[in-house]
Amino acid sequence: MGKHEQRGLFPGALELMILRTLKRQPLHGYALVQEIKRGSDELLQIEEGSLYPALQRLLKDGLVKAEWSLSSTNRRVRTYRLTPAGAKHLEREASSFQRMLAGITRVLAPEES
Amino acid sequence: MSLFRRSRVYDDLSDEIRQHLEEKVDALVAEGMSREDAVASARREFGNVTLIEERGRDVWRRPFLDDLAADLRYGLRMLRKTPAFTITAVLTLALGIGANTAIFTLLDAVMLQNLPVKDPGRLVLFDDGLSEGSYSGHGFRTDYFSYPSWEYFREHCPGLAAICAFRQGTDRLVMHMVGSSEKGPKEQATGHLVSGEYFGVLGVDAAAGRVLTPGDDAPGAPNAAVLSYTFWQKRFGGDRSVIGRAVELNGGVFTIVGAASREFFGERVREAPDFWLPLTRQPQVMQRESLLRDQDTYWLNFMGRLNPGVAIAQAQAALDTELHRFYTAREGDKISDDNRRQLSSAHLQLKPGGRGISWMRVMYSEPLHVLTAVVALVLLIACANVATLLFARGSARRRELFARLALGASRVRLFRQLLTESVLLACMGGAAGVLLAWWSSKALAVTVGLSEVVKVRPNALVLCFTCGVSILTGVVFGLLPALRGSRLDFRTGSALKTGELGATRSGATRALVVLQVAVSSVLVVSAGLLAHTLVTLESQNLGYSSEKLLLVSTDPRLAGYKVPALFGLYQRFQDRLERLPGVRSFALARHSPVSGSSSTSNFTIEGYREPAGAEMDVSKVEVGPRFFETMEIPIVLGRPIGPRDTPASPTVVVVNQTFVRQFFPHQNPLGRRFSLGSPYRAPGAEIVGVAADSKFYNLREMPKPMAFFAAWQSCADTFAGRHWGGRESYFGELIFRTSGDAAGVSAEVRKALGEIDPRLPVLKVTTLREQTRDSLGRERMIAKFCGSFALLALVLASIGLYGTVSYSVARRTNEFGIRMALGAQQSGVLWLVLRESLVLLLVGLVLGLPLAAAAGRSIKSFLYGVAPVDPVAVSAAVVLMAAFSLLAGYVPARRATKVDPSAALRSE
Repeated sequence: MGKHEQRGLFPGALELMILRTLKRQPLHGYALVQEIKRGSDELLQIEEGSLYPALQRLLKDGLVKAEWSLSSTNRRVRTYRLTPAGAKHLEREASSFQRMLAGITRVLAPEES
Repeated sequence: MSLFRRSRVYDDLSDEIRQHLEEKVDALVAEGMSREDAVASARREFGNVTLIEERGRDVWRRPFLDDLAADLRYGLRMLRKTPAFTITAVLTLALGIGANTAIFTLLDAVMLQNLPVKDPGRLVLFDDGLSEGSYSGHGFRTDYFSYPSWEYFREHCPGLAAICAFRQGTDRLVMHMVGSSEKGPKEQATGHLVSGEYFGVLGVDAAAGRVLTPGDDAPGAPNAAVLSYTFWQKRFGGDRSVIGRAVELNGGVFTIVGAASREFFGERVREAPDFWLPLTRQPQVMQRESLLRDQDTYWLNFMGRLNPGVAIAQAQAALDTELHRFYTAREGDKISDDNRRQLSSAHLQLKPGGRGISWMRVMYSEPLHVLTAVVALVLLIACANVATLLFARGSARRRELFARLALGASRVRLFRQLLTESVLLACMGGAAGVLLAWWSSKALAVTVGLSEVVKVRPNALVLCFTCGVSILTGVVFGLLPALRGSRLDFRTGSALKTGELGATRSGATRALVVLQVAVSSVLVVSAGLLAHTLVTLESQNLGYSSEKLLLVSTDPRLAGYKVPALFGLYQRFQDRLERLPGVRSFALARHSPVSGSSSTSNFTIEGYREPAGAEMDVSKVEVGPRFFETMEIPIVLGRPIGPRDTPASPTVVVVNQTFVRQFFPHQNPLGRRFSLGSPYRAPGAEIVGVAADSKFYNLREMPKPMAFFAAWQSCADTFAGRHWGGRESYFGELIFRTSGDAAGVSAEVRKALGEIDPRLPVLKVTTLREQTRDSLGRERMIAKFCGSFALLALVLASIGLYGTVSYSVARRTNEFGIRMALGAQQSGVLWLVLRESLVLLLVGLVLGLPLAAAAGRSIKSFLYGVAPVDPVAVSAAVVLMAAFSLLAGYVPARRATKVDPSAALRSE
């Protein structure tokens, strides 16, 4: 196979994953990236930097909030936390996405041989 | 989110990303990578940091506002980088807009402001004329009224809900607080006689105590007096305890019953009188015989309030009928045909009274309109100027614009940015203009004498006007250069390098300069006409020498003199005052020359058949002996008034040449007689002399018939056929012809007056020169303003010219260099550039001078002794403008000659 073609994630996918990850625990940017990579078992290749515009969008819409604090390694980091609005948004969008995925999966199902 | 919070957000983002990268690098180093490799790898995995940051920031963008903010910031920065241009442009606009606003404010104040009374729209005046005084004689006046007619109209005023009467004019009062122990000269004050209904009709309340009521007019009522607010503050410090105190005014005791409200200054738009006094106290206040029964003395005006729903025309018709009824009843059965005819043609002229009687309005309304036109022209020039400046600047920024276009800016964006810059400039100019306007309105009001009386401050209307003008100028002059600037064609590759356009056409710029020159020429010529008028007025021959003439005013009436004692006083004046050191000659007179006051009377000549419709009116002045010698008015026939003319000798009169020409053409007037009033009453006054014509009342007057009576003789009971005895016998103008400096003599005069009688007040001391100058106050003001604006216009036009020529020189630098390399002289290049200025000047003058001629014709009424197309004014204007233009052109021309030929050749 030639070069890996990066398929772009559908819009909102990254945001959903961020929200889901943050639901488990508040994290800062770098840790968040590691978590997402780990969480997808390396199936998803995300450009690390693209996280940040997504985080800004989430901040603007009030779905997360951020504050500066000291990390476990005494590093000054900006930690993101899910807001109640964010939690509601996650639930709604995640279930909608699951429904969509289920539908696509069914359509794409291999033919009964 | 505000801009400040936003920059915090951006900072946080940058910090975050930096932290992220650091953390990543540390992690990689911990895994064993070298630092440099770790950094490179981290960046690679992260992605393009700049792009990421930008995308992160984009989340927060509000495109329109952000672009606008960017435009404004950029615009400000560009304006800061070229301070000379910015300051010039802002100043230009500020002056144009500021001047406009100031004039507009003043116009509003003078023309449009209402009296500070209740519901001014329903007030009507029976006459809105400016003159003050009284008229005596039989007639059917409709502008001034007698007291008996007031009594009639008080009861018969159809169409009016209320009516009041007031004296036309104020009176000088000698004031003394009763019970005060102050000795020394008594105070002077002014008083206005008004009927009790006055304050009611105008709807004015008291600030303290009460105002006059109809009850105060009743014969037995105690004398009441109302203070004006200003006087109450000034003289009594606003002390409420002064209400109820007694004050002696002209010998009569009045009780102060209150002070009027703060803004009220009377029905005339000027400084308020100190006292308002009941009309029926006229004899005391005016210090003359009672006029309350006099059918033939007219000294009152009426003001009324219209009934709701009644129009002025209706009320006028109804009141006219009443007037005719009144006069007919007065005449009785013996009304002659002539009188009947006169009466039928007498009609009231009711005028809206809401704005009061304003000499400002009458005197200044025309000049203000002229000034408005002038200022509009100046604004036009200012806009043209700024447009020119922007063009010139635009050319310098071509490279920048090209670069931006090449880097991908859209034309629309560029256009918007240029427009924003222009509007920014306009707003700065407008703001500066408002400040300037605010300050200059105040200064203007003080110059014109309005500041006390009229609220002169930029009101909402004016502010809107200014803002509108400011935005408009921004759009107008922003559009043109912006349009030009964005329609750039950079097909030629060299454009980017040198910033040059293919074929630049500076036609628009030059047209603007020509426009500026034309408009300036109109202003400069007009200013020249006005200045010439002023000079002509001041330096004209008045018929007497105006140097070394000292004028002192006093008033024997205020000193308590009664008529029988006057003759003795006048003789003492003549004896004592002529002998003072430094005084060549002295005379007493009723009016001093060029004082603005005059007396007119109708008269009848013995044995003279008046041509039908002839106005038998003469201006009369009572003068003492030595008058003609003091004034140096030549006597061309007969003799002057002299010390022989006493109350015991026959009444004599000296007339002027115009009188003789009009009434005794080709005849000897000496020995003929006439009497004042009509019909002729023997023995009348005998003409004993003819004086040369002179200008006695004001500087613009045409020669008119004048009669000089003997002041000494007017102390007699009958005088020239009229029963005198009263105000007409009091004369207080002392005229001195000095041998040296007039001012030095004034001290001597004061001392001498004090010795003659310490009660005599010294009311005014001035010289004829000063008095002349004062009487030209209006002309002065207009000439000053027009002159300032003309200068302003000229400076602005010169700046425009300078800018254009500079721009053209900058464009042609290479050309000049080559010329000089090919052997052209510096003077040749100089001439080349100057020629351009001269051409622009010439075309501008060709366009402007006809306009100037038209303008001159439109202000003909101000001019005096100067034709609308005055060669002196025009040539002076042309010379002045040529000088300015050459100067404006010379500077860039010199720069052109300094071009280094070799440098020019190199850059080709």
